[in-house]
Amino acid sequence: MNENRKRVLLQGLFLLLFAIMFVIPIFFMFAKSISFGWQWPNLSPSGIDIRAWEVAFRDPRIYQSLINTVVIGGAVVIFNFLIATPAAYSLSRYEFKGKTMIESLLILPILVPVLAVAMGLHIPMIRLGLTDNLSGVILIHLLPTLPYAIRVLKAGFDRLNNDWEEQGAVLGARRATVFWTVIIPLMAPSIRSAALLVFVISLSQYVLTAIIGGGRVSTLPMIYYPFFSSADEAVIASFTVMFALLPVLFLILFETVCRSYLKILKKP
Amino acid sequence: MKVENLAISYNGMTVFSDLNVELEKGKIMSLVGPSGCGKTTFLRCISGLTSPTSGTIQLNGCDITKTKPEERPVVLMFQQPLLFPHMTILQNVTYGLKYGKRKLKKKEREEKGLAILEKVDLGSHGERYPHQLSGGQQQRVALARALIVNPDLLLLDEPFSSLDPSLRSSIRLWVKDFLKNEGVTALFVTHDREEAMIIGDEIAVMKDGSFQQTGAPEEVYQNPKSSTVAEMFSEGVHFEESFLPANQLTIRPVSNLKVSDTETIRAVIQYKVYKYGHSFYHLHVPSLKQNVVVSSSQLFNDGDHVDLTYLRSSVQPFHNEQSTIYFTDKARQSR
Repeated sequence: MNENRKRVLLQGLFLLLFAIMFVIPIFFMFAKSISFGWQWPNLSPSGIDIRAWEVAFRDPRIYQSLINTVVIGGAVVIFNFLIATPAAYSLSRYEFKGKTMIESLLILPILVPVLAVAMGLHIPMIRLGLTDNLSGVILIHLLPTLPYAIRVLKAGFDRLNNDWEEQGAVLGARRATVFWTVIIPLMAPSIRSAALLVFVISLSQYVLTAIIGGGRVSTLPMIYYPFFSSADEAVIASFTVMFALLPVLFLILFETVCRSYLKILKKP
Repeated sequence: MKVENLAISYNGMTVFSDLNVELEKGKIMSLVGPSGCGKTTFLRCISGLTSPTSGTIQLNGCDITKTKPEERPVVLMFQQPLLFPHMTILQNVTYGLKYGKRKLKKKEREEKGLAILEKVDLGSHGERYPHQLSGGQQQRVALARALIVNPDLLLLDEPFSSLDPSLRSSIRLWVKDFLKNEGVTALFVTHDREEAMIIGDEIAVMKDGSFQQTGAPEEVYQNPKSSTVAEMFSEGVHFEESFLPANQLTIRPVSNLKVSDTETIRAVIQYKVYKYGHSFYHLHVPSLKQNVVVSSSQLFNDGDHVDLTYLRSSVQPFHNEQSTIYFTDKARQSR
């Protein structure tokens, strides 16, 4: 067998493996949610049926929880950027005493079980009136997300060295101007991945939302998990598809925001 | 531009101290020195990116030592072109006019931008993005971007070091002509002697954080004032207190013959190169631990032991006093 054929074969093998592990499950999940009477060993379902989606959307809580999920996710992303950007920038650009210690302290929230932290924070948050409402849930979602956001953004700032800021400065632009016109656009890949990561983590929170939200703030996971006790696989599949679609929609929206920012920059 | 007693040190380590330099408007000065001698730090001080520990920097009679980099009429060009990748060439060039001190209207900006792109022979490239340009073109765009804000002083930090050698030799001549046509006052840093001589009206030789010698290229080349300068900038051999230019040396086969008024040193031929229609021998002088290049029409083989003879009168003793008009180096004078 010559080298070329070997390579083609290997590529095919990897493609197959990739399909089995990533593409086919998602496809089947979607197919399952709109099919009717699809039992082993049938290769194809006996009919197409949107019953499962109807069941999912018949639940009156679904709309409110969808809105809650998106609002919480969006707010968590915004607060993450507000807090993580200056933190990551300072950690990347300045030298100061105790920098390494602060850096390690900042990852602690994801090393210590989040449940333990939430239990401890529960009482103070009750006293502050931050339970059973959206703002409390948003606040507590910062706990598992901020460490990641800071790390991702810091890596981004590290990758861009200080030359860009200096180049802007010698051309006569103020520090803040250089930051918004040069650094932020160059940080786009890091900003994008931080946003997605934060949104997905916030989306999948169950325990934190349950404890701090006290059952009053319902999000998608809150109604999704109880459905597992039912045996209706089609409904579970439809929920799962919804779950997977949210980050995709978020990504599209975020991308639009990023692009319009760049467009505005290019205008006079 | 005038720099007085400039000094900088980090954590007690002195990078340089007591630097004194003056540069006339419209002149270009080349700053030559080995890497790590403080020349980049010197440029950063003048551009304001690094604050000096002491000393003053004056530009057109104004003290700018404490001025922020964005407020100084000084632009620094880095080793890398550092073109903003998300902007077109035209947007890059006009960056300083859009966000700098003097904010211009869009139409005015674009007119100026296109005019200067035309001057750097890239008039048709305005809508392209930096990654679509070659290294030499990118460096030209960077030069245009630096000059569009009309700086009183342009600083160039080895701007050609990332280019390949053939491109380098063509662009440096072009840059020299361009800067001269525009009447730009510039300070050019390099570690390449030839580059320094091509671009600079004046040469400043820097080593270990101080200026060893300053003056016209020819003067520094012909009359080095110390063995350090001789080693770094001139061609020839140097003794403890004197210098012998390479063109005063003659290669002869080894002999014990003594001619009056001449001296002889032993050398070994390392290799031979042909350049500009002549053959040049690269020689090693074991007694002085120095290498020298001497032209000769006689034929020798690699590894041959030879005699280098020279007239005793052609040896130049080092003079330690400064004689140039534009430069004063008080650190050396006070010694």
